[in-house]
Amino acid sequence: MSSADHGPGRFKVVLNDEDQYSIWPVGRENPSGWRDEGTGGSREECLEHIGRVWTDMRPRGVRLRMASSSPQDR
Amino acid sequence: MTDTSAVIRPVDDRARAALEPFSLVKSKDRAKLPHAVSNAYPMSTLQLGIVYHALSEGDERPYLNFCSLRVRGIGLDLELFDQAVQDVVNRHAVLRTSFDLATYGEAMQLVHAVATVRREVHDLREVPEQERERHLLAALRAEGRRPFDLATAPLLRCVLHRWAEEEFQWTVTYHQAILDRESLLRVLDETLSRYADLVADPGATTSAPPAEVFPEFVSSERAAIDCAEHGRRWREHLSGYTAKPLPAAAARGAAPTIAGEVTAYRSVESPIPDAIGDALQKLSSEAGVPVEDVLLAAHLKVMSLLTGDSDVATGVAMRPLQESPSSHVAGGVFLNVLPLRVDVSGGRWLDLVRRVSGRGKDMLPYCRYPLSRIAADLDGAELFDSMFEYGDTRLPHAASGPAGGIDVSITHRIEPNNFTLSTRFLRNSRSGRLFLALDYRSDRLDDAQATTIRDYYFATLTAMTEPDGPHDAFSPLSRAERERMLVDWNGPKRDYSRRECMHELIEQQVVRTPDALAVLSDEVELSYAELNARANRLARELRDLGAGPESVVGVYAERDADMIVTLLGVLKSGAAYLPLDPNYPEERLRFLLDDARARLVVTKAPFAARLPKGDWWVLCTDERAADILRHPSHDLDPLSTPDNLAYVMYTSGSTGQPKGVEVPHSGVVNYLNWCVEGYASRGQGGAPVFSSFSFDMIVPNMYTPLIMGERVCMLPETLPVHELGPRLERLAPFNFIKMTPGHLDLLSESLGRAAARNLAGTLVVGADAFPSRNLAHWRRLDPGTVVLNEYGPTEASVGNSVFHTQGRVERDLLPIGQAIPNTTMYVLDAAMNPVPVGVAGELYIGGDCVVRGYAGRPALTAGCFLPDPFLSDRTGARMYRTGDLGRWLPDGNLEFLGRVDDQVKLNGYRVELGEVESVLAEHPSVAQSVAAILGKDSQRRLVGYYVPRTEVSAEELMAYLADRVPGYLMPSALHAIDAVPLNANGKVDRKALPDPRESRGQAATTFISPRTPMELALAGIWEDLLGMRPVGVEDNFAALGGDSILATRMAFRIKKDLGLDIAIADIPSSRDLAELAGRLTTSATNRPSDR
Repeated sequence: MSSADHGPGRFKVVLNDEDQYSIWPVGRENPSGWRDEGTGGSREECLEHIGRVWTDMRPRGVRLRMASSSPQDR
Repeated sequence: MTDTSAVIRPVDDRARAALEPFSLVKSKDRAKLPHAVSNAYPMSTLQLGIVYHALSEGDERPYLNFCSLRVRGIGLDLELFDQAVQDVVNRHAVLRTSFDLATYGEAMQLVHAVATVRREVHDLREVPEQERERHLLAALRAEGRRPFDLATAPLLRCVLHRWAEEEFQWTVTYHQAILDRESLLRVLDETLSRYADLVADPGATTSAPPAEVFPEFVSSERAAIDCAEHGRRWREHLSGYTAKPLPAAAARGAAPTIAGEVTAYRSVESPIPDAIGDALQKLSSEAGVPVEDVLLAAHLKVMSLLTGDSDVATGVAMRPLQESPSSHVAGGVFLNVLPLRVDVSGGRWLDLVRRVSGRGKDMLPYCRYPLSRIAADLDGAELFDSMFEYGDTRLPHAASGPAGGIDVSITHRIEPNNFTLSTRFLRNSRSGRLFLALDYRSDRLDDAQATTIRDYYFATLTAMTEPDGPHDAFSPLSRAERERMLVDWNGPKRDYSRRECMHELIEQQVVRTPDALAVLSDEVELSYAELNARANRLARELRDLGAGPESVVGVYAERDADMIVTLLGVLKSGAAYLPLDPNYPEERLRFLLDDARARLVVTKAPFAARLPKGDWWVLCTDERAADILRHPSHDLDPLSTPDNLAYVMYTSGSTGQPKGVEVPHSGVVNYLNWCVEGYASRGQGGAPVFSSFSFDMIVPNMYTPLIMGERVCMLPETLPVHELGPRLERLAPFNFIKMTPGHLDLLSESLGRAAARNLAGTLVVGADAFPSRNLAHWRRLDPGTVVLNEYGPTEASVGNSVFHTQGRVERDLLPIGQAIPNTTMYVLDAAMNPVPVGVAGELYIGGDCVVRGYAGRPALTAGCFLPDPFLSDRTGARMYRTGDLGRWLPDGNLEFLGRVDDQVKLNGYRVELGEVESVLAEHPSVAQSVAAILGKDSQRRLVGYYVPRTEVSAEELMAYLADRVPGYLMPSALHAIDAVPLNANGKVDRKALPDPRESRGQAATTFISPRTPMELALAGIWEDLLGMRPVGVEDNFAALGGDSILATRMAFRIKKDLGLDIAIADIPSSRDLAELAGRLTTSATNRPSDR
């Protein structure tokens, strides 16, 4: 990896098991529970990408439960 | 520009070195010189500085240096020793130099043909071994107190202690203005070598005296001062630099010192392991720079880590003379400590080393320019409090090991300077080994800190052994330090149940205390059972209208018992509530409902008309009361779980639009469980609700009582601010009250002692920085009640850390304390590494409290909620980046230091100046706008400025703003300006904005001083509360920054000082001070006789 790839200000898009997006410095190990999404670039580029792809901000657990149950009461 | 190459020519260029004696003395002064001097020349700026310090500090701390050596393996023959000393004094002109600051046209140094060293001797051979050290220290202390007579050479003397037959102690005391460290070491070394030679052969000859080089130094210093280029280069080098002090130790008395001085200098010395030393050598060859520059780079990196800033400056002992060991001369005070400034951020270690070396090389030609001149050029700024020095040797011959059977070691040494930290890397010229010596002022750093800093140097040097690694991500913290900050000092683990939502905790309490009083308002009292039944019915109605988990229901309501029923009803339906303050303008309401995608709003008929039309149903609970009453009243089957949203709250956004913080149940439940334990455990009576429910400040007051069987007291919106105190007094006691620092100040004005002490078991102050002055104000009434300072943003579920006080606090601002249970707080640098204790960094918050994000703002959310790399027991966790600056105090409490951006807190509200600015700039007549906070402490106020495009009045713009932003974002005044002031970097320079209050003070033509006793008394009160003087009779309260809280405090002051009652509304409504004085005079004359 050239130094330009992990110079200051290089980030990548990551997401956790709840499909929540965030960014993380390139060249630094992902905290546990976070995986690479595949996009890299400047902080702004990564956030812009997230702005496009993260369309449902509910955590995965909430999303799945909502899909499997329908409101019922009384 | 002069030819600077001459300045850095080596010293062994003997032809240049020897200036003709007396050649620097002006002819007028030459005539006054005494006969016995062999040379004379003016003092250098540096020498003058040293002498000035010595004289100005007087006898308290004579500017004396000393060095004490233990000599083993040779006996003490006094006669030969004196001869050795005298031979060395004869060789070196500086050792025969005295100073005369008065006789000549300039401060002069005189080199005497003859000078005899004063020497005393003590015999410790009969003294028991364990007492010898004490004797020695007593002698050293006495030495340190005995000043030199500057007019008498030599400015150096000796004390000898016989230790054993072949062992003695030699202490040299000298004036810092004659010798720098290198020169001193050479004097010591030369003397001991000469002594050894004389002991071996009393007839041994001495070598010829070296050339006298110090006059040349003085001459080139003068040339540098006269050369404009020197001054210009230093100004450029330091342009825009602001000094960052090293983190100081907690305040405490200085440790006792061997010299008995007030300021103690202590030292830690450590050898650098050979493996690291070798690697640094390799790095030095790879970078093509001397090893000194590698070590300087390490030093600057450590300074950057210790100050939390990549732009650092340190004092570097710059020597233009590239001396080789063979040309060592005990020359004088060549050492000029100059500020080397480097931005260390970015790149690999190798790049850093090259950058540092390059910067040093750039400035070296200018190193004859004296520091005092640089400081004077920059208006006397304090530039650095650390320094770096590299010495190629300790004692070249004698101290580097047994040589000629003599073993020498330096046992005590004092070289006072004003630096908090002096870092010296020493290289043993024979073994090649490197040593690190840190000298520090013990009134600024304690021993533990010094050891920690030593460890940072070692960690840094170790990291540098991999020169291709990026150094930005490097953290010097030891495992133990990390553990302390990340684990020990963080919130404790608590097994609060994680299964329930907020409303389920309340439902559990309903079962325990169905008949207890739950909600109290002016009109209504609700028991737990009643509250629950009403909320259950409403929740069923809401579900019928489509409310459920993840849907957002607007609640447009004023503060009464029904508000609690409605909020609880929304939560029970499974939905999240969006609080809509009844005072918000229509535009704001529309934006909030649209942005949060609310499809349903709960309100009452009188308010419904004020709601904007939009994509939502409006449920008026009063009109539909009969339908709602038909629903069953038992608890509903739960639909939501703790990870569903409980509420969406909007905070000011810097881009002009507020942002909705989506808060799930889980974080609030953790917080409320803590509130029961931490806030509500010291009393009874529940809590009062007296501020807007659209801010989470009030969340603990609203819900904590309801999960522990206590009451919530709803104070109406219409309650005037001055009646808050009396009303709370009537309702007291409470378990706790959470409030802003402004509220506490208000209560301090309006409550008596008994009422203050009876108010609550705990007072929780939050939502804004808490000045200790406010606490002291309260403590005069109530010395004992626990007062907590709470810190926490909406994005981390209300509150995250707490500082506990039961008395007074010494600092300006109360610390924000330690994290609450199941919460972690981090102070991180730009690379998200923890910074050392005492160093400023950005505050991050992790744990159960971290919320989901900003509604409909995925990019903003991803940028503010980052992977949490520090939580070991949870995967996929996130931490919230607060934008607040803070630091750890040595006792494990956190301190708040401000913002990284323009966000400000005003009366407990988060205010993004950018939001006010963008709304103002949307007006067609406004070309540009700026908002700023003016004033200090309780007089802080928001002021708007605009550059008009076309003619427009401030009144019109005020009305425009009032239609669009809530009251807390309204400026107290608007002012037209010609242009937005910019600083050197092209950014808005808010400090350069005119303060209309100050300009008023200068417009003295219209100023009329108070005339009557009433006006005088009133002006005094205004000056006090508004924090400005003088106040004239034509001054207007609002124009001077007065607001409702200040008006209230003023009414109390008028009552207290003048014994007069005044309606609070009379204060802002009076045209000026004279009119208010008139009203007061009238009311004083009309006062009923029975009062």
